[in-house]
Amino acid sequence: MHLSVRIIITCLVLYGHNVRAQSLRKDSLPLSADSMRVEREVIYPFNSLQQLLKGNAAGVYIQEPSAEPASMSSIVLRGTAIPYISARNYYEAQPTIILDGIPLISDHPFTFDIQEFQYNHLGPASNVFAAIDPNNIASIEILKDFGQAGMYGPRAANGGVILVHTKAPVIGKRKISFNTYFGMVTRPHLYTTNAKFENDFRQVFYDKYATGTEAQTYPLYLRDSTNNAYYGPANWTDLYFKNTPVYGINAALSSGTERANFLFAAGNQRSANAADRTRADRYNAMFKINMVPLKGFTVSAMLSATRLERKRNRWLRDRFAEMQYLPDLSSPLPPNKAFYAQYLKEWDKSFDDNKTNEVNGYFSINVKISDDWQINSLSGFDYNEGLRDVFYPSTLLETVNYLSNYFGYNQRVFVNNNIQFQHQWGKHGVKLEAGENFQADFNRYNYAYAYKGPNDLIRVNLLYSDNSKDNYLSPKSFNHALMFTFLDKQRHRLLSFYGRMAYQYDHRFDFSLMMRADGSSSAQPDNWWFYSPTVTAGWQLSTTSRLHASWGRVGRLMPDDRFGEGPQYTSDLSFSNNPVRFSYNGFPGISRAYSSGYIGYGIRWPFTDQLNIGWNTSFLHDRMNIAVDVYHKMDQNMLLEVPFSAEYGYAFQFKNGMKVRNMGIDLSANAIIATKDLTWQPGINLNYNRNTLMALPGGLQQLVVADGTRLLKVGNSIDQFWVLENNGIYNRESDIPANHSTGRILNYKGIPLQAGDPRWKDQNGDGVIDDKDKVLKGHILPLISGGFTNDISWKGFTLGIDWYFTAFRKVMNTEMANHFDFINREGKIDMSAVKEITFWSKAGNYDKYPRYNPWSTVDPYRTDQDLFLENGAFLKLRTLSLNYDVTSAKWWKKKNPIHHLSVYATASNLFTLTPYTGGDPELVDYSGFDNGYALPFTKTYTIGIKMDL
Amino acid sequence: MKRLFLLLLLLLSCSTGCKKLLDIDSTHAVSEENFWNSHEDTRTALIGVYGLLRAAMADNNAWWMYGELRMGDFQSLQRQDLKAIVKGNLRAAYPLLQTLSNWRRFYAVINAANMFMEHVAEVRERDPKYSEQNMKVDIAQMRFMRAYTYFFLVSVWGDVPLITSSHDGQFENKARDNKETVLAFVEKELLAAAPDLPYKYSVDDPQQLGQYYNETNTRWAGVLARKLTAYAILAHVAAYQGKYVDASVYAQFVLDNYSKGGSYYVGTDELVRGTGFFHWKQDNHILGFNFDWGHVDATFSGHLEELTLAKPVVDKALPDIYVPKDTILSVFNQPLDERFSLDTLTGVPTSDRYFTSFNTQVPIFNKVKVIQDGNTSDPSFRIYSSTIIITRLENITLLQAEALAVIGQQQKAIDLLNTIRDMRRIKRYDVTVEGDLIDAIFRERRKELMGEGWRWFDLIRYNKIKQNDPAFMTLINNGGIYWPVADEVITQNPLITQNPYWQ
Repeated sequence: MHLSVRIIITCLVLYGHNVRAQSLRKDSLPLSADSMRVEREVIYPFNSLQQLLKGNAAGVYIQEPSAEPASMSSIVLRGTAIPYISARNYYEAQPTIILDGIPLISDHPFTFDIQEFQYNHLGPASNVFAAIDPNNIASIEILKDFGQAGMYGPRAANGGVILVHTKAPVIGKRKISFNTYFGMVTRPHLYTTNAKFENDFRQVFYDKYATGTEAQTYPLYLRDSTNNAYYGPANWTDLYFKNTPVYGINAALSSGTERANFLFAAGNQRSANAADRTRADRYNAMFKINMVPLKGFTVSAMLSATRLERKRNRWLRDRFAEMQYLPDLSSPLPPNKAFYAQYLKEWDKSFDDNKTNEVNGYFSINVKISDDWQINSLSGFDYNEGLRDVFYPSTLLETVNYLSNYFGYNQRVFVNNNIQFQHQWGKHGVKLEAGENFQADFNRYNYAYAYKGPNDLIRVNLLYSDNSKDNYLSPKSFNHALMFTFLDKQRHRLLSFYGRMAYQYDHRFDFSLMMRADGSSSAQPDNWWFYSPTVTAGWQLSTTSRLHASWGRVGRLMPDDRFGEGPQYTSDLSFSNNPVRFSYNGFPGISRAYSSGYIGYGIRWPFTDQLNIGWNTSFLHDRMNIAVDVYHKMDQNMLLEVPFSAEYGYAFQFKNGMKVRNMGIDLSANAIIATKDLTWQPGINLNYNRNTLMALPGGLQQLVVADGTRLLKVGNSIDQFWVLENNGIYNRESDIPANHSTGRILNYKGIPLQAGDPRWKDQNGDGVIDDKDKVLKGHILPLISGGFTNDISWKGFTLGIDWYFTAFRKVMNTEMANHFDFINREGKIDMSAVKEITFWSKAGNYDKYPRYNPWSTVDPYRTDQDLFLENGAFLKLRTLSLNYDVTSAKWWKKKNPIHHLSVYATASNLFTLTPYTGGDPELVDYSGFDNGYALPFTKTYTIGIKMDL
Repeated sequence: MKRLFLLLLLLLSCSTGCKKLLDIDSTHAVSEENFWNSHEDTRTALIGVYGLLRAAMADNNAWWMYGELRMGDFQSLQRQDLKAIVKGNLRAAYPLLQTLSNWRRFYAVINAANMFMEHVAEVRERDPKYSEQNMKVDIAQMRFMRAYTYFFLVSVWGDVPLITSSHDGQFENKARDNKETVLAFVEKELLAAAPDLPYKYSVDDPQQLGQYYNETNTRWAGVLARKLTAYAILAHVAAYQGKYVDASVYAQFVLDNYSKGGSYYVGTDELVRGTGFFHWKQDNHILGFNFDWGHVDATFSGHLEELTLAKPVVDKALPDIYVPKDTILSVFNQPLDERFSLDTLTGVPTSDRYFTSFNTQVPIFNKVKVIQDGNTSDPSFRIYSSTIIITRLENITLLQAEALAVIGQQQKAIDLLNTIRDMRRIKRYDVTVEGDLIDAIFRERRKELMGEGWRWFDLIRYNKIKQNDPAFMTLINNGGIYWPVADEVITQNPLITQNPYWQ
């Protein structure tokens, strides 16, 4: 028995959660609303917990920015209260995953402090939740209402927590299980282009608008039509996309008695993407034991270890971002295979090793003192480390080679102790519990990089190690002045106490109350403690129908330990293109935190209140389940950086006071429709969520954030695009309106519009197009998201058809905008001028956009206009599977030692229905921009076999 | 029951230790109580102020964006944002221009200097090693840094809020103050700081005895504000206001005492050599901000080289900015000019000191070229360690010539002008050939200081003296010579108004 988890589940019965006694009938539904049976999913080649959850639970929205295996991906539980302003927010908004009671720790975004370009976290930037093997998971439970999630305190602030329960050891007999599959990811088709296409595309603009000097600076690579590298056949996709094998194998052995039992599982999985030869390999092992040395005294322990290795993409952008240095960009990668191959050949001389190791485990003791009293103690740890070693040879970048090493780890240890009392007096059931919880986190990284090694054979930066010599720790072959080293660490501790009581009458009415106190080391000393209550009430309408309600409050942790210090001093000597200057004249210099923001005294805990009312029922003899939850979540006192006092040197100040409401409905319904031979089990889950900004710090009504690209406005949502309304083009000078009173021609922030400029709507009619004319449109996060699953069984066959959909969501087609904005993307050395190999492809219809004057100083193809804003709704046939249970065959001998055997075939990512004209509408970054940097979801076909002995 | 008791005890003991558990110092930030305790803290804070000003000047190569590009000799080749600056179209919708319109980084210097002056007495109390003289010279530097920053703010934006204390924790919005008020403050502060500043550090100057912060003179050479620095900036401030009598007094102090500060006139070869004048730090840098190669401080940005260099000097196809051939020929029209001249017989350049690849479409301006450590011709890696030179002896000499010419001391002015011309090996000034002296002095400044961030400010002074260019006079009279204030600055402080010219 896996006790710690059981304890939680048994508690839930009383604390406002409905775990129905599951019917033993074969044709009834085994699922309750917010838990997910993973057994059904292990046949698919999913490589992360996020992929497992996608479309499978109401209110869980998975946002994958790229389909690159084991890359970062995010979970949004019941919407977000954190406006995604920077890459950091992405990390801060993630809900806690709790694996068998272990709250898992993930990467801290503090490496962004030293990164000029924040596309990826430093190091391997792997998805730590890709380290969990689905084969070891029995079920996943999503606790969203604070009646249940409140028990986890501040860990539940991002919409709740996700509990992952691993499989429990078997009792009584030995069990060996195998699951293995093999398959292929297949290359997609892409419309490729070459320089002729690009030249024809640009010539239209040159013919129409270019003046003498402008025509002279035509890019070199488009000038020479005899150059085969650019004007030859555009067949780079032959090298970029490859059909690639994928596989998975898992074996588990379990055995034991009531007094002692164990489970051992090991697995290996390879995931891959057909694009850019990316892949991830996972190796994992798990060991779990339960012992009952004395009656009423149970000890259990689990230890799990995973290694994750990634082969990452070869985007130029990501390589330059890692190097923090850009070469001359005037000749992009050529679309012709022969020339592209030369580049790839040089790539093969580099290395980019990305490894993530993860170890976690727990030790738990349960003592049943009497029938009424018990004591539990659960202690555990989670440790994950990322290693990345990079070497780029000099042939890749203007004879400058580059080397970097990253080692970072995140470590969490925790202890939970509680004591429980439970008693039934006739119809009155009472339960009392008091507990204490301590959690200590430590994040740290070491990072060093060096440019211009002596040659490409020396790929390791060795240091002199004799500490008696003068040259101790100076580099042996790299130039000391071109070597940069960094170290950062961060500690956080969370100490909590809680008490709760529950009362149940006649198994019909129940009521519970919890009080908790949480102390965080990141809060300021006069404000360490946060006190919060939770209440729940439930009414069992009938044996199959229950109404429940809860209201709770949990605190939200500060994202950084800087908040605990109040006004502070830090290093602030960096500037553009040089993000990491700490010294002047070789001395460290520190000052107030002008760029990173003023933190005053009196920063208080942000917190979340949530009211949840739910009803679940099953009818038609358990053949149909419906669960509906309505919630109202109010995040209050949230910290936000507010621009302030540039005249005192500050970029902004952190202030409490942002208030965000998320309101919505979670709906799940399952049914089972059976005839004699055929059963159909449809299941639908759906979330409607809408967020509204209720208040900003200091009574502000609106605030421009994210370098002027986003607007937070009270009364509107926090995830909206802020754009000018585009109504076409001014073809003639005479079409441009002038102000009646002043006679001044319509202008963009003081620049008079000219023929060939966009026709932007002057919302306030003041004759000036500026930020006041921008409107909030659309949502980055979908208002509606969900999944629709179907299992159709006939005899031993099961056909699984899973759909995934979102609606009421917009995507900014940035890739398209960038293509039109070619004038501002040539002849300079910065990231906007980087052209990837995918530059030589075309998606969408170029003809539907007006031909503006690209040289115009109003930047006509800017992304803050609705010209490129598109409907991003989609419906995907995500997976299709056919499973055959061999043991159900008539010829199968019942005495066969194999008591379960099935073979299956699956297909993933089959097709997408969407009005979006660009790439895959699902693959966008946190700001809702489709910038073309996502690897596509590629069609994957597998066959596999599952067997239990 | 015994076990229960034990557990309760455990819970209880933990709650008494809570304070210990939760009290952790951040590793990223230093709290108020852990700072301003020792002379190491004052050094760190002092360096912080210099570093902040370097960051402000280097951010997006601001020093050249404000001072060199507008209506100057350089043209942008492809970059639209730089074209807009050159044309003076400063409200154009490019991120670069929006960042440059924001004065925040300069006010960070001012706030840090104010913080220093408010807290330095605490260190004096707490650390006996921190001497009275050390404190005095530190304060003088902070007053200088604050004053110079205000001077630069006024040069770029005109009227700016004058804030002379940190207001730490009680920040209040302030409106823009009249530029005359601000400049009066600047002059007063510079005059107050000058007597307390030494000519050099760590050489037993009466103002600064012994080793400054236990470091030798080589470590501090040209790094910090010195007496000459204060007078040189005083001369610039006075000239900017048209107070040429004052300017000549201040400039004369520099010209009389420059050798005490280790300054000297730089030969043309030394000026343009990779290991020459712009290399690292030197006593001869009257005011400059260095990027110390040996201390891993070289950078990709914050150097003119990032904008001007390209093939064959560094691996970059084309430079961001260049001086067109016609401009070069019209500016460097004197034969034998060591900086640049054409051989009168063959018609080819006599040297590539200022310009290389002259015979291509895009000549490369390579006067400043401290590539990597400066001692290399390796073009492959575009990292630089040149110093941002704010002013130097030749600049002050020509400024003095200008001042004297304006106040009517023609011969002295001509002598100073010829000092520079002799060094660059061009003919002495001849009124019959070259005409007006003021014109000749400004022409010389244009050549000597090309690429050093002064061209735009020189144009303003020149037009204020001459008043013969109506278009430029309109700019001066309507505030068009100033930069617009960034929208985000105006949004966060409603008391700030936009420069009327840019409304």
